[in-house]
Amino acid sequence: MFRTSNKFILRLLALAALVVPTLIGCGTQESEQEGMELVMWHAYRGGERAALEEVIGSFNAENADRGVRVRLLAVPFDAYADKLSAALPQGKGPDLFIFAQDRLGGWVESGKTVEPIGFYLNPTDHQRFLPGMVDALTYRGAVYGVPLNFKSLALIRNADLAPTEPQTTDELAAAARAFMVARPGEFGLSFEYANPDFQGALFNAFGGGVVSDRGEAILDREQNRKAFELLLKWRDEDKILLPEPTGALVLTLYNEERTPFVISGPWFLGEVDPALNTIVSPLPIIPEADGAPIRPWLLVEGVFVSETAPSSLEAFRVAQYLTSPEAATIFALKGRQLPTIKAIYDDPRVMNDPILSGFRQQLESSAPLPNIPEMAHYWTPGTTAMTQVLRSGRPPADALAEAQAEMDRSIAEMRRSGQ
Amino acid sequence: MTTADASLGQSSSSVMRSLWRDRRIVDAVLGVVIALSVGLGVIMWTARSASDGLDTAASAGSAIFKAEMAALGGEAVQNAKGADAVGPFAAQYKNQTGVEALSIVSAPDRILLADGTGAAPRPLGVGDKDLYDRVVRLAAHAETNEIEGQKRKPEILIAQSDQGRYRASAPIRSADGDIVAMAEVETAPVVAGGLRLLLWSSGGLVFGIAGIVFAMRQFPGLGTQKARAGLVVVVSGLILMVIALGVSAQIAAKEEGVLSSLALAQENAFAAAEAAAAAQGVTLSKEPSATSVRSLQARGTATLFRDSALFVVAGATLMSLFGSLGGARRLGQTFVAHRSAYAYVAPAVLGALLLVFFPLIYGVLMSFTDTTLFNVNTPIMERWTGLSNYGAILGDFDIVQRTADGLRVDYQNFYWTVFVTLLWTVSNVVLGVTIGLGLALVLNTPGLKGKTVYRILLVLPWAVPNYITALTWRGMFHPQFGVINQGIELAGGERISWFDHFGTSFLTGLATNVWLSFPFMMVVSLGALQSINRDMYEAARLEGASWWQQFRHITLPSVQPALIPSIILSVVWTFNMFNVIYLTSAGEPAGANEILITKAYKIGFEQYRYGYSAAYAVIIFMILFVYGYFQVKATSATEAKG
Amino acid sequence: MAAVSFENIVKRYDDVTVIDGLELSIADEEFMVFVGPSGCGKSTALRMIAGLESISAGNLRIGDRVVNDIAPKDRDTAMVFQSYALYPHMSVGENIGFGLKIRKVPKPEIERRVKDVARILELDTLLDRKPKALSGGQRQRVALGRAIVRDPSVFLFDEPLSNLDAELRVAMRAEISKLQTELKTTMVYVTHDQVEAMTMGHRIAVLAPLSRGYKTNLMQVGTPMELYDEPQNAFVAKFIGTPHMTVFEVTLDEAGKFTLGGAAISPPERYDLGPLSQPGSKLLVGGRPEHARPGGRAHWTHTAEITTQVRAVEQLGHEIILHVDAQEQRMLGKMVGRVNPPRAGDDLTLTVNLDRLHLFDPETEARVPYKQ
Repeated sequence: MFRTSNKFILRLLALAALVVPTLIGCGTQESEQEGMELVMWHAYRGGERAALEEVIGSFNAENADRGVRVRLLAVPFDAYADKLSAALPQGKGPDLFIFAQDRLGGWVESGKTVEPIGFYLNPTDHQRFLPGMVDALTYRGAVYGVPLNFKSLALIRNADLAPTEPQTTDELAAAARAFMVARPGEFGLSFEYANPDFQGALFNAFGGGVVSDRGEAILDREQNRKAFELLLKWRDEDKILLPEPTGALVLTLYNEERTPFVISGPWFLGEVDPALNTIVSPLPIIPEADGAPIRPWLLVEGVFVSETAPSSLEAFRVAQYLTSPEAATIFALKGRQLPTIKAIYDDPRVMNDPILSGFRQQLESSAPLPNIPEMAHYWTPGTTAMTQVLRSGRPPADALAEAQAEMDRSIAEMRRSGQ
Repeated sequence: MTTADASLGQSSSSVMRSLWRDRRIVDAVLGVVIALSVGLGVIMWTARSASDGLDTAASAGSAIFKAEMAALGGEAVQNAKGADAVGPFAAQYKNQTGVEALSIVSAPDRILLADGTGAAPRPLGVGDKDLYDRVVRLAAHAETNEIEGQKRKPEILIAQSDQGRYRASAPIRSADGDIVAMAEVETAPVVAGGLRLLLWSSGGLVFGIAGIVFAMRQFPGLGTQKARAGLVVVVSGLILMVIALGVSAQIAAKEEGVLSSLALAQENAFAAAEAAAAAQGVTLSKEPSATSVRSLQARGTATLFRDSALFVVAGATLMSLFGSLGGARRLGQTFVAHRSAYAYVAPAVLGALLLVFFPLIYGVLMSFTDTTLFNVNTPIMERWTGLSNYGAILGDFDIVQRTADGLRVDYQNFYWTVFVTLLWTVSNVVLGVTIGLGLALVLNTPGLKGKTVYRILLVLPWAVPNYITALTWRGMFHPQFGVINQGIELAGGERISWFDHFGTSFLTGLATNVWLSFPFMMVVSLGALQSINRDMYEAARLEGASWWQQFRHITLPSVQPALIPSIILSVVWTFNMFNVIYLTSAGEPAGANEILITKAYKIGFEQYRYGYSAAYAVIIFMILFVYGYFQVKATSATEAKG
Repeated sequence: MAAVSFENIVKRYDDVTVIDGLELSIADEEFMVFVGPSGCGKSTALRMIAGLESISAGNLRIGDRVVNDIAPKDRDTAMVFQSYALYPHMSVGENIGFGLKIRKVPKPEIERRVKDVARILELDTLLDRKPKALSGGQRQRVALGRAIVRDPSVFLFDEPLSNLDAELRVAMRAEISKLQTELKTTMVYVTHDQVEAMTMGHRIAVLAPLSRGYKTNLMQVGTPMELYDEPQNAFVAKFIGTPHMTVFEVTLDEAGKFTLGGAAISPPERYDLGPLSQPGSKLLVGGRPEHARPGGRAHWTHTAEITTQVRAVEQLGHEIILHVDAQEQRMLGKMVGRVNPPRAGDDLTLTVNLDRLHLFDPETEARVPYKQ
């Protein structure tokens, strides 16, 4: 026994002697490099990713003499938000990252996540951006991100199947029905109407909405009810809607030219067949809503700085670089994104692009997605309400009332627990 | 008398040896040691943290008052005499109060009105970002509190810098009531007095051990188990009580001191602000207000300490029984006797602790709090809500409501979900076992050609990752383009909207999961069937038993010892089969088709209510634990029959 | 109670024929033993009576009925298996009564009959036990009881004692024999052990595997002594008897004699050799050990003395078996009594009783016929 335990200890020590130096070696890479390396996360793929890498490549080249470089890391989208929420407070996250504004309120409230950068912005900086961009990234008076690009839903149509741009929803319904008469068995208007993201567009048009600025749920409103009723009319009376839509289904049908009208965002176009004659135009106005246009939610993607970044000033400089006109051109033309700076829209290459100009026009009638934490309490009850109305045939007023009650309850609980 | 003289005459080492050999004394001493070390350890640690808390309260309070008065004075001076007067005011205030740093910042115009040296106002530079951010944050907090109607966010910021200094930032309001500026001070920390903890604890320990040994030797009658345990309880309880009360008194005294020093600090700060303002020709009209609320963080510390200390005393005294009744000694002997075995097992124990027990205990602890995404980082005691999560889950009996269009089931209700889960489990296991056993019987026919091929094909469903299966079935059930509805139409029926009603949605999950689970049952049954002695069937045939009678009397009982454990496993797996429900039907319609585990997931990771979700998970665990325990007992399932 | 008869029964599995041309009659109330080496078809024949094996050709009768296509449960037979085949989750009482329960016999009747049988077999204290709590012998008795309680026309036993130890086997043999005498039912008993066959059966049917080249399985059927004294062929001669008869081939010389151990021996008079009497013919000669002794016995009339060398000596207590070499032929001899045995390597003269020599045709292996 005595001898074995000796051997055992010796073996353990030998093993430790191998393992420990490796572990130590892992931790001290930084001391070898001069200057500062900033880690930046994003969830882009394809063309968007290529554009970002090109811009960052230029940044690194121009700042090489100062010793500042940016290292990009692509994170798959599914886990992106959760990874950020988990890693940043621990100090294990990136120094910079690109994200939309929908989680901003939650991050600020839970703390240790994002750093306000409003200090670095002066009035001329504000002027560079389209109206509403910086506001989307502002929470309780503090600006947290530099707006990079925006996206929203718009009307995407196959101009070969539907040559005219519908101005009102009645025209849209008529055109859809005409298509369905000519092609029986197909569907005129395809979009994921069961998805609560899409529902907001109609709510906003009628003057309703989900949460007020003060974080109260405003679901149970006459205006929202009317929005549901319009949707039901399209489905049950006009019968132009695709049943059981999913994103994949909508894409397939559009690419196979079996549907002329799709409501979706720029992400959709990344997978659309380029051979098709696709035109993007603003969503039509709703006569029933006193001529108000459909107001899709505006998502603004910004460059955020983490609280644990070694230098918030350097990080801000990177963000500024990303929103320079040169960078914006690359994002627009190569990444097919919509930059937030005004200057880019004077460039004829952008304005003549039927897709980019369409989304730009839609901006005029979109409403920013609220970035307050109370918004996060909408999605589950909202989905439930939609399902009840669309599948089980529950009256919209009842479904909205119940969803409102659920939101009120969970918001109150969230506030209580934060004490 | 004589024994005492004799023991004094012996050398101390032989005394010790004779003591060691006497098991009863060893046990008693171990009991006292356990109780006192645990009890004193916890008490001293709590006392230390209470004392530190008082120190922090003293330092923070002092900083806060100074900041508040600086804000008060600065605001008055600026309103009366303009921005240029603020600098000198601040310089004099700083001198008088002895703070280490002082800044007064205005946010909208980005100007540093004062830096404590009396210099003129200057614009904020790049290095002043933190100051600016703090002003914005104060404004944000005030806005939040106003919207929510509660004082959830602090209206004066307090933080501790790396050098140990306390930094307090107080808001300055404009004429409209908006927060546009801030006064900030840094002060050195205050130590409000120490506690004599080490002396007390070591003294208590020595006294306790000595007392026990002395008593046991003097009164042999105390050697019996009961007497010994009682003696140890009494001695350790008394010692712990005395020490707890003593320390408690010290803490109470310190608390008094802190409270009075804070009151004094407040007065002095106001006096300094008055003086500095007067030097600029401004009279301060406002009285210091309800910010004394801050100091209440210190109030009640002593009482809280005393109550928790008594609780600890009771617990630690009870723990002494582990030692005095011999448990500790026997445990030690086991460790020594089998130390190599323990060494081999240690890595696995460590792994199990880290990967299984720690998350389990963490989850259980979290279920007693109301942790959400927003308060994950706050100290756990502030989130403690006891059993309220369990109460909310288990006490909600509103399963069915009467509404305008008749009875409606509340699908978010816990009991509805339990019903669905039970229905799901029972129907799946019954179908899976029936189909699996049936197929095994077919496969077991002697002389069946191609048996291997059939076996491989029939095991394939099990081999495919179950989330792929779930998604494929979901596609097949698509009302428009799914193959099942198209098949129904071909056969002349009408398409079914599978996910619109609870019944049909449930069937989608059932079909998917039965498809997934029958191979396992089939394989288990086949193995058991192949080990049945053929002669029994022949004997039964001769006796005239029909196929069904043979099945009931021979096949089933022989297959039972293999099936019962498989059924228990299957029940537990099916009960927690997240993938199929989540991916195939996603709980449609509207959460009606959810089982407990998917609901717990949604609550935790879509609504971010971690504490509530943890309570859900603990309830699931308890249900399965009770089931498993009784099932194994009832069927003595682990014993083979014949 | 019924007789069983096999009429030209054939049994084939795919291309392999296991039983061919089996003709055998078992009388009512007879205890018939099927014996033979493995693969001879004895178990198959038994199972055919039970109905557990199908019949490829031929007719099987129980009583007067042709039962080829009648289901096992309707044939009124009961079988005791080698592995007992007890139902493990039922008690002894339930095991015994199971057949009756299936046939919907009323409960009190079942109880009565089970109790009776249990008493006969001394199982009455064990009625509530499960088989796993019984010893081998007890389990075998339960299997017996299960068969008895049905009161069948034919009892079938498939090597029931093979799993028991030697002592128990002896006891059970006696019990089964006693049972047959009491119950007076037709019993067909299969065993590979010829000692069992000799001691238990009224008649024995010796079966041989077709793979050894025989045309039909049944070698001989008769009483134990008939088989012992007058084997009809070399197979039966070698199979029956412990220790076995030595059978060897000899060639007749010009004088019509064959040599054994240095002695020239004429084939016994009573055999009608026919064409085999020619010089140069080959013959199979068989002799039992007790007919080759040193010094012979007083009442032997025709004898011959052969010179042998002792190879091995088996001292069995009451007798001694001698393994000797006569020229190159190994054979067995016997000595009785407490005489000094020879040792291995000794020369020994054995006297052979010629009246008890058996002659067989080397081609057909059949016994050479007697003169009329």
